[in-house]
Amino acid sequence: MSARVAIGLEVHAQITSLRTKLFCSCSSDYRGRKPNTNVCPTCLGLPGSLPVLNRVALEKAIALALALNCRISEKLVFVRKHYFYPDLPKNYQISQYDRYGLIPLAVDGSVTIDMGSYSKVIRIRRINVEEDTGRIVYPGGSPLGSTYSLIDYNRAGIALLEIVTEPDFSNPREARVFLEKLGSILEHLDITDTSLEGALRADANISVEGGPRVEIKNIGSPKELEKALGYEITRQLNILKSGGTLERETRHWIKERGITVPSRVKELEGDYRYFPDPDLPPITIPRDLIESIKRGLPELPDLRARRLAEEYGIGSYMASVLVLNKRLCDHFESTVKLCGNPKVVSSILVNEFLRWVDELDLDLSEGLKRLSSERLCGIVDYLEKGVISVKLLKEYVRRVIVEDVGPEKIVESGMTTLSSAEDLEKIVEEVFREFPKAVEDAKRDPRAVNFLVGQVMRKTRGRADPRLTNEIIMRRLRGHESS
Amino acid sequence: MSIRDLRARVEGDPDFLFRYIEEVYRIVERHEEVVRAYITLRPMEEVVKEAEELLRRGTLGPLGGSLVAVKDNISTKGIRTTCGSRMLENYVPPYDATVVERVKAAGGIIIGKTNMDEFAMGSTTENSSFFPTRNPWDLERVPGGSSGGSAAAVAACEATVALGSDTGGSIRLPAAYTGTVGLKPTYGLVSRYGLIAYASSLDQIGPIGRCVDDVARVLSVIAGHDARDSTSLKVEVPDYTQFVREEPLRRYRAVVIEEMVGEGVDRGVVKALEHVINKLEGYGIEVEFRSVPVLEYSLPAYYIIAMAEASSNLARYDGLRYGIHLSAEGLLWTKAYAQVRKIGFGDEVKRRIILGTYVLSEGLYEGYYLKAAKVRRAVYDGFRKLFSEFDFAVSPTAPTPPPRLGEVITDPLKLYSLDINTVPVNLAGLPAISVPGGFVGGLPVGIQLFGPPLSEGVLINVARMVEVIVGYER
Amino acid sequence: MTLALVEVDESKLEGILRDLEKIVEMFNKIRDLNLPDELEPLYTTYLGEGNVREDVEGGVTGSEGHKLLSRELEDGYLKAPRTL
Repeated sequence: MSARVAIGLEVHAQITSLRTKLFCSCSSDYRGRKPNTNVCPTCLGLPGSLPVLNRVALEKAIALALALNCRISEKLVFVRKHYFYPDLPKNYQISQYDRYGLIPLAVDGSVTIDMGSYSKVIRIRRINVEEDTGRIVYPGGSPLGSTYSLIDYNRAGIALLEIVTEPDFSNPREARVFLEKLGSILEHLDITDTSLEGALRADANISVEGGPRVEIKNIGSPKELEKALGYEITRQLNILKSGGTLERETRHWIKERGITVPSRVKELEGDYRYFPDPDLPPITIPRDLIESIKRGLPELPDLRARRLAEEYGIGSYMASVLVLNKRLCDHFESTVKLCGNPKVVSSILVNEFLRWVDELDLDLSEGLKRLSSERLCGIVDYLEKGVISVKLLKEYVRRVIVEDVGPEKIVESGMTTLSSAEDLEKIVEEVFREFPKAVEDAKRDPRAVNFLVGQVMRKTRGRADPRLTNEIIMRRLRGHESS
Repeated sequence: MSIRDLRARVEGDPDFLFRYIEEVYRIVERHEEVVRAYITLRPMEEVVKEAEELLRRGTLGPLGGSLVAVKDNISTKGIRTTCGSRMLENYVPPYDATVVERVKAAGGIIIGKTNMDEFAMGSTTENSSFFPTRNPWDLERVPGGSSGGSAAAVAACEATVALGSDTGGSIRLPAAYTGTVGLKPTYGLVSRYGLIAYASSLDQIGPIGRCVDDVARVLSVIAGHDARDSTSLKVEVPDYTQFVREEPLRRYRAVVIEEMVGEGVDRGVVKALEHVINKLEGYGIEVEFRSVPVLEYSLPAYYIIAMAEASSNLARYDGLRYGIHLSAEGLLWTKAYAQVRKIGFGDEVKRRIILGTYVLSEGLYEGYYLKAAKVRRAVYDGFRKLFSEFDFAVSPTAPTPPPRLGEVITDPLKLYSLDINTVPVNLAGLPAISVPGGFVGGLPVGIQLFGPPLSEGVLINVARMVEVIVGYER
Repeated sequence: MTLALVEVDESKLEGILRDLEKIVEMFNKIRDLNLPDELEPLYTTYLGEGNVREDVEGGVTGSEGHKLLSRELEDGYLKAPRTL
């Protein structure tokens, strides 16, 4: 697609590693609780209640700002952002702003994404610390047709980090990789457990062919982000092609249907009447606090990727893909500790495992559980010993993930490399008999050999040792020629 | 009866507390029908029960059984708290404000919740959605506002002492009009946790009493750091009663600000001030005159800021979680909220919310709110400079004696001008006290003393001296 | 006024608008001031350094939370108006 596209992201990450909410000491562990049981006067915004900042939240925010190479402000200044909505207890949200002399927590950062054939620097416009809202559910399950809504404030007041990028993405894939990388950075910093539902949310702004900005909300994962953006670009191009005009709007991504629809919820947007929150005096961010946090930063994805490439001799692109997910990367390192073979292990994880997890729409943690280090090592062992070929290995990985069984079970089922020359000779003979025309073709055109190899594979259900098969076929062909 | 005397009597004779309670309730019965200081008066049996528990506890605490009237914008657990508004007509807070916790722990007993201008927006208590309170000194006149109910209750002996709140003069003005003592502490000295907010950067809770000693006692109880309030100062709180002395504790230099005794101030009031100043000079206090020209802009700057913050603080009242019950069935949320806010808020509140929203809106923010904040800085700096030279300032609390009911309420600007001497103090976050300064035409007038941050000790000292000078004895 | 979601009775509208105009006129005294750029706005007179709190639990838990909302709840949820 050669359309001119500019995409910017607004990501909200919950600071799930905090024990309490941002401005009150309610627990941050709100998931799975009965509604409205994790609340207090402050997060409900009861008359007379007041906010007090969670010190650790500030430190986590600083850590993220450092990891994203941002300039950190001298003071943390809170503002009130006003709009009316049932999930917003005070009808304003406490956040930061960047006009009228007010400042965000951090600005002007960058993240480099490795796209394989090129890498790109994505600019970070700002990072804010703000509070999350409550959740709205609908009695019918959907807002359509409900005469009222139901609110649960357990989540109200949870600490959020808002990360806003410049519109530097030129295609959906870049946006996806960025979101994965950001998620990985947050995981490595122990700020966000991205596997928790709702912990990492993204809104995207997209402009196609220089047209008006369309905002897409309700995107819950990097995978969805890529899909949503892809859909939106196609939709907009279709409109332009048929001579229509685009307008500036907000749209909603509907995952189940794979489409975006115009947002019918018009929050009283536009004028949020920002002003400094008088209940929260500015907090000085001492430079030595920043220094000490900097010194204590754990190994971040970029550095880790470099180390993996050096230490394990895997390619830098391979390493960059591994570090996009901390759990995956940790799994890689612990598996290699167990049975070595970093190149094979990384290839399995990146080329096979991720593909299956994606196709099966499996939760990554679940996938890693199934393809445990022990099982992975088992597979690698079979490969080393020649029990299976590379082609069979792919089948093994698939079955381990899909069926959640150990590789030994698959061996038992008889799916091992057929490398007995005798057996293979017989099958090659069969194939030669069944496809005489192909045999003739193969004598002249080496590419037709693949067809014959393929037929052997088919007959052996993929078990034939490809190299040996090839040898036998070539020999026979030469033999044929002479006869 | 002062707190000190009450406590001493109860200590000697615990039964006295019950006789005292009965006496106060008798007075309430006599006066309340006309004065109407209370929105919610607790039944006597409840108060008696608490008195019994207090005596059982063994320690009387510094308040020793005092019956404390609490302004109805201060949250009291289990006791209806209305803010003088239909919006919260049946709201019962599930928690106590920090000051209430401290009062109770110090041996105080809450007797009831007092009337006020709706959401503290007003200077005469005529903006209460329920009924006006009358000035015990002259029932045709206002008691001041917004803590009118608290001041009237104290003046009419319907309570031992009271808590009020002050955003632009709401403690000091009613104290002046009712011949009582009212103190607004340094911003941050008293916790705002539980105070239903009007303008968060200006609000403070403070005591209203019949004498300076009572006010000093209550201040000592309620002041001090509260971890639940981010704007709460971390300072050592002295026992303020040590400052209640009839001579100056050291050589003081006092200033009279010209802009506070200018044209708009009633000549009788100025004379009362002059009388007090002369006597203070007799004690060796040097008094000088100074001009602080930026004060000319303090009233509009104050109202811009106060209304802006109010429009924000009152955004939460949508009927959903508390207050007027909203029937959720069928309506879109914006319609439902608008309906609740239409019937829940009175006219003055609506005016201020509209104006507050206006001055914060995009395009207007810089011209109004931002500029008002700059003026605020200038006022703050002006006072800082002044108080590097002087220990305190003295002025009339209000430009006139208490107006009649209905006299100022129809003209907002007239109403706002009552605050002309009190608002600069809130803008700068300074402490101030209003102490009775005599009578003008038979009506009480107040003398305002204010000083640099955390100078409550000095103010209490001088206030005691003024109390003696004026000779106003209960 | 849609931003503030505040509605006024038709009958009072004119009077209130007049009042509003008068007050805005007073406000314009500030708007029309020429203030130096270096004059920093003052948003709070709080003297100390911002207060923070440790990341330690201490909130209300369980059904206590329901008592904070003085409303009838539906399965624990708060009933609210339509959002569409």
